[in-house]
Amino acid sequence: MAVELVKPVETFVLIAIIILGGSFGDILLSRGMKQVGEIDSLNFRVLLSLGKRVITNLFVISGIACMAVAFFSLLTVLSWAPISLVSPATALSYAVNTIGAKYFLNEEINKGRLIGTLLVCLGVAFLVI
Amino acid sequence: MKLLPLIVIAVFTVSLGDALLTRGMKQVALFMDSFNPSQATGLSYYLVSLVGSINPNWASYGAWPAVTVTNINFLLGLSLQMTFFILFLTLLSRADLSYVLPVTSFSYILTAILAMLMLQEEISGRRWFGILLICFGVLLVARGESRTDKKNISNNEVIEGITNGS
Repeated sequence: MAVELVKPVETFVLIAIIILGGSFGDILLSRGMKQVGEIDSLNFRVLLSLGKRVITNLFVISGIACMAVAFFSLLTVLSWAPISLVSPATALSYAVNTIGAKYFLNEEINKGRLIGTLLVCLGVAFLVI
Repeated sequence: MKLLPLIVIAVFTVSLGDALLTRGMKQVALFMDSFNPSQATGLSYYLVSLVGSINPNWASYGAWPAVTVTNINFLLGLSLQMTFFILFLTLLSRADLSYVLPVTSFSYILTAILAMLMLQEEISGRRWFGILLICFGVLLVARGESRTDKKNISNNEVIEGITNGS
């Protein structure tokens, strides 16, 4: 690439934190929400008690914390690195998420889901590069 | 409520939220370009004098937060983003993560279309190609099952699991 990167090591580490923090956050949120149980009611009192269970769930809280770390890393890295380098990271996180979902959440990744996710990954990269 | 309408509402919410946030922040930037600290009133006046007392050269930056949180597009965009997060959690409670994420990425497409209509942004050929790839990807994922353990986990079992500490 013609453009010289200012802090290559810091940039690499922070992008890794953005991807891993975001994905790990999603995985924790997913795990927490499966514990809370299906939100399938429009009854106000049921929703209220479910909401209370959501915000007191340890997985959900840790998930939000992970996403906050990823978000502040993003703000930091954007202070010196170009957005066209950083935002393809959002595309890569689809792949990391799917791998994480398979191993941490025991989700079954069939062929359609795998190819579909890779296409989304590639498509997002085309959008942001 | 079925899964599909929930996904559609979530996608619309986050796309419109993104577009409104962008419009709001651009308005804020435009306003700040021609902003004169001596003309500040209300909350802006208070913040401008506060920041100005630290360093007079920074005075005009004091108005940033006040101008931002009083911008109607910013406020609407922010509320839509918060609504999306609640809808996203609801989706996660009912479907696999590896299903929800690719399927809600349909919002990239809607955001591009809204950016074209509301923000007069131009979309290059390469971006349309990316959009096409995302469309195919979403269709492939959405065609399959939405949840791996549909039969194994019921609400009661989960609650039992929590109370048993497992």
